[in-house]
Amino acid sequence: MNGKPEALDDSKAILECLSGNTEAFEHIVEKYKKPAYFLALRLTGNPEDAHDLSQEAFIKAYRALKSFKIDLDFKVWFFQILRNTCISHLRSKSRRKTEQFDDAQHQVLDAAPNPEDETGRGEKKKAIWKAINNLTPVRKEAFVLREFEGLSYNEIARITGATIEQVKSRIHYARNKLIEEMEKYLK
Amino acid sequence: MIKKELEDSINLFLDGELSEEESSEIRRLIDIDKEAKAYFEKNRKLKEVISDMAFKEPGNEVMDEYWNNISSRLTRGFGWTFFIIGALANIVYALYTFIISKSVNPFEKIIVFMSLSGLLLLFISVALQRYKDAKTDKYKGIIR
Repeated sequence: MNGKPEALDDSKAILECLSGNTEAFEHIVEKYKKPAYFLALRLTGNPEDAHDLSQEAFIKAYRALKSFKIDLDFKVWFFQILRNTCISHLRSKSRRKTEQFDDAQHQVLDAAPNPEDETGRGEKKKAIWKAINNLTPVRKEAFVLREFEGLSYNEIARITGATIEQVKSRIHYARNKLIEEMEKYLK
Repeated sequence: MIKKELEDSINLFLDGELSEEESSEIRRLIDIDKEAKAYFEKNRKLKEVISDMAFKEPGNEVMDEYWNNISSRLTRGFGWTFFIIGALANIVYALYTFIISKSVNPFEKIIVFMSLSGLLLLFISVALQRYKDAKTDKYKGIIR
């Protein structure tokens, strides 16, 4: 962020970008690169894909910036692009092969050893992450957007193109499924 | 309140999607209803574990180069677009000049036309074959 004011808000940066100052887009990328990377990581379960797809989403967003309505929330609009990028990637991947959840998927969790992990907390996290990955894609994405990204039902509905009732039911189902599968860990 | 409705309300309460008044009602229900309390507790514990889940941070070098990568991918995209448009325009212009040229005799024009048409047909044929193969290749999922 060379010489750019930190407090530049999204709409100002986008307006600057639209008026020809393409460097203003760097401000947006710097602000959202980590949330974008982590959302892609949680949706795809693969660090390399997360890195590549989050960058691709920024490029798509840059090219579609003219269609962005300035009074809307940029984060929600961008997450919609990112989510679509990840979903089409996962679809083409599943057409090529059936992916099984394996140990490699556990690698995305930060398993820094600590006393709690030794008492089974790390194991619990791994088991929950595995259970999350076993949810159907639509339930998983609604759950991830709610629990990890902290988005409201309304925002999730806008990102996924679902109704609020569908979002509610997906999150509810996902939680019940996780509780059912994780019964022994949640006592 | 029936089970499904109660669970829905607890979920909405946990996600902060209820009004203050509705939240108080749910809190009261959790206090007096055993089933509601048990469901709330399981969800609370699940949320606790999830909020504690950390994902591996990407390496500093990856994040430092993040903008540079996007910038070069954007530039590359524009580069390819300009190149393809320019190359096509050049080919069309060259062909047009060649066709209307009076200094080239018709026989030469026919052989060049045949060579180019042959090349184009071969290209289309190979492209179609590759497309068909890609659709039916049972080994395409194998990572080399």
